[in-house]
Amino acid sequence: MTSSDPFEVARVELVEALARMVNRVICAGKAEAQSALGSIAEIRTTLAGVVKLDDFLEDLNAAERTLRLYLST
Amino acid sequence: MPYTVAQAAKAIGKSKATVFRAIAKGAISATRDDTAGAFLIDPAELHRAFPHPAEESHEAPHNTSDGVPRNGEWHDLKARLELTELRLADTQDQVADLRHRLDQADADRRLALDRLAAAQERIAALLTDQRAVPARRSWWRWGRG
Repeated sequence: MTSSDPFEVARVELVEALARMVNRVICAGKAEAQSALGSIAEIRTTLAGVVKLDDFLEDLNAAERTLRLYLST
Repeated sequence: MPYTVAQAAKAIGKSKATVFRAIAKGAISATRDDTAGAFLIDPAELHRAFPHPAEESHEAPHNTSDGVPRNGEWHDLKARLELTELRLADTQDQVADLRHRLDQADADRRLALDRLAAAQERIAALLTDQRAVPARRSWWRWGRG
């Protein structure tokens, strides 16, 4: 990782963690996916009070879209 | 040997019009040449009103024979000193203001990082499989410590 900005590092780490979580949840089943959507909503709220949410929004939205797509299948 | 207007202008590095204006305003005194009717200006009188360009800003002021600056020069020096002190005070104020802003920005950044670290704890718990082994490694490793 080349960036030394803690917020940028956090964003990259969050993207990786979200990807891992989405993969794990899809393997675990739809009940887990529903719970994960709740977690994403909580993450959104938590981050909103700390950082400029716009920087994280795209990643959170992408994870949420993937889970909803999985739930719709 | 008195200067003519042209010589005076050349001596002070200004135009003849400037010399004429100075005479007209009484800034310098001049006599009239009886035959030609031209103005004649005493060099000392000219340089009293128009210091030599090289002396004006870089050289020490003219002193009297006892080494003490003339009265007008004291006023000029005092004014310049006061101006310099004002500028210095202004600069010091700016430095203090910038230092304060820097300290404030530093404190704000530390607070933001603390908040981010706290958020990391909560988010790590949300993103980690709670059924997994509890002794997990946080996905945000950098902020610990």
